[in-house]
Amino acid sequence: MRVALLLLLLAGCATSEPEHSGLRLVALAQGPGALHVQVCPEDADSCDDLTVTRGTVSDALELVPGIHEIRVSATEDGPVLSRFEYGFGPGAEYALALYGVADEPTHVSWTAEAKDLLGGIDEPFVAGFQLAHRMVPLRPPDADEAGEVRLVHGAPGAQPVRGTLALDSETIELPAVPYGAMGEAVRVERASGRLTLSFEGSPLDLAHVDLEPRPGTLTVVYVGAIEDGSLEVFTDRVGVSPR
Amino acid sequence: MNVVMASDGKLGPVRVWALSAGGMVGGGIYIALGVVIAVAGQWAWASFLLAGVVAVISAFSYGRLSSHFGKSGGAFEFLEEMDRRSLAGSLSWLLMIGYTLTISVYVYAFGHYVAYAFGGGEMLIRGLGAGAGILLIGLNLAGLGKMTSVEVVIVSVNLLVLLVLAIWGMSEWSTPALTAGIEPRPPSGALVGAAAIFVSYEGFQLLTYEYDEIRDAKRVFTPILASSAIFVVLVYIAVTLGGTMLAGALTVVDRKQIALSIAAEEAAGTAGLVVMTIAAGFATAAAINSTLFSTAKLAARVARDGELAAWFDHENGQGVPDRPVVLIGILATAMALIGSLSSLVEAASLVFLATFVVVNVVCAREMRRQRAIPIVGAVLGGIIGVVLLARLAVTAPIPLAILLVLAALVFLGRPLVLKRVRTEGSKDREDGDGDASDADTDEEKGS
Repeated sequence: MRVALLLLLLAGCATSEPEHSGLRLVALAQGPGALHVQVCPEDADSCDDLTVTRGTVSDALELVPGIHEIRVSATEDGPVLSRFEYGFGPGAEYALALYGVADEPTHVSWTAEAKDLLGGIDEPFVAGFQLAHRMVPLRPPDADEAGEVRLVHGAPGAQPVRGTLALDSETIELPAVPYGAMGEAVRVERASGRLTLSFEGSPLDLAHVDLEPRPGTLTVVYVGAIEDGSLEVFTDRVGVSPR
Repeated sequence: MNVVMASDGKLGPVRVWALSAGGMVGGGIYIALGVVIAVAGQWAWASFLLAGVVAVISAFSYGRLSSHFGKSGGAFEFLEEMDRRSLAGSLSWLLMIGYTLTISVYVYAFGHYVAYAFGGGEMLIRGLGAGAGILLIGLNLAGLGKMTSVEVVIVSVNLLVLLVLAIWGMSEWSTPALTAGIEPRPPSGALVGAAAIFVSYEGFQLLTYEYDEIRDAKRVFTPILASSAIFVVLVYIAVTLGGTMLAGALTVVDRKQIALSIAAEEAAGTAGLVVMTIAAGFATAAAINSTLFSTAKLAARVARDGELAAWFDHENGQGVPDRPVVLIGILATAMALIGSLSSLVEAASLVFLATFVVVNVVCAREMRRQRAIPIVGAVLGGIIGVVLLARLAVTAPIPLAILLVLAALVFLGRPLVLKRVRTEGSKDREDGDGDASDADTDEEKGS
């Protein structure tokens, strides 16, 4: 009995290495062809450096749980355009979407700060169309559950964007998402379909994307800057599908 | 002595305590957690503490005033006793709007939590919400609106499930989880968070409508209300920390409609989800039932005093104020099906903050001892109210404008409306006139 209690006590006292967080960087910003990003832990001297080409998603960075400062610039030697902090929890996966116009360092006015304080993280647009950021949780459903699709809108100056996902026998509406926001994850029972994006209230199609929202996966559809009159749209899928 | 049900059929102290705590926890925490973390981040627990201080002080003031006047009726009765009939009438109208919004929040929470467990989408959420609303209107009409024994069981199980979740989460303590996936928020966010979720504490008020039904109320009511409010503050803080540990801050915000189901699923998989869904379903249903019952009773009571159209003072064969039950139930269900969560929660918070401030001011004026306590409650409540007004102006200007127009109509238009509709006062006068003319006729006949 005493041995069992001792073992329990030891198990309780055992320390394990904290699970790392995963962070993908998503470059949606209008302007430079790529963004240079530094991710620096709060109490460390060294930073992770990464360059992300516009319209792409980076590989996942492994981060120690805790608060990290993130610095974004147009080039490795260029001035920092935006600097902010995020917390990262153990064992979680995230995507950080960088959107807006990346032409000069962001200036946060006191009204923007007040809006941020009062509105919280649910309120986008606090800094106009300047370079901004939104964290997307990459939490796919369980392998035996229906897949999910969600929209992230990062096209500065654009109206809210909505989606219509045409599947074999049905269509699923993805509610309109305003600039700087992400829509709710919508469950999709079928494994493939065609997503049509359009501005809210407009009958015109903006873009078409073929999706494979398989069970156990989360597909994030990023709507980036408008280039040459068309929306830059790309997807990222995470999770493990049994098929 | 049986502390649960007293021998004279009145409510015993344990039951009153459980109903008071359960009235608060019944629906609020299920939808408030994501809202408060979005605003206050790692300071969300402090938001519940700040709002809790106002709630505890207000519970103290409600208790003392109820014992002082010795009557059921809450804020409406306190103001009537002070000959502030007009203010009492206006405040009661505002309270009925607040309760209707609160019921709609509970309907919304019921639909989301139950639908999530069945993997349902928007249609199922709305269907379940509408079904719950209609079913509970029916139960109330059948005279089952006040099922105190059932409520006590539901409240106890609900509190137990929430406490297990909180302890489970805190046993896996990891400070980074408090800011997982979000930008760290400044400490001042706690004040904004307190404003956003104040409605989570309104439930204890419903007991003031049952004061006459409580055994030895003069002695036990104030300590019961205050202690149950303190307990709920601690539960909310524990659930906030525990839930965030399990799900992470960003997930709680992202899935705010079902945040506690996600946390329970993270803790214990499908079993956790099932238990949390049952707890949330029953707790929100019980909260809808009891709030609908009390609001309908308040409407009938106010109508009897001539401060609402006499149409509301009508009972069915079960002695239930049927018209208010149907009207308030349908309005609340409809709002839940078309409204957004945050604006509903916060519009309701504004109404209850205003009421609590008024009650604290009344308490400070009426009481000779310990006046500093309600003064602190009124001042802190006023500050949180101003912050909430600023927040709504930024985040939900249209719901705020609608609420302000409604408030203006209540305060300015209510006397005009009451002149044009048939009230108990006008009915009595008509009956009086009728009696007089009948007498005249009899005299004429006699002569």
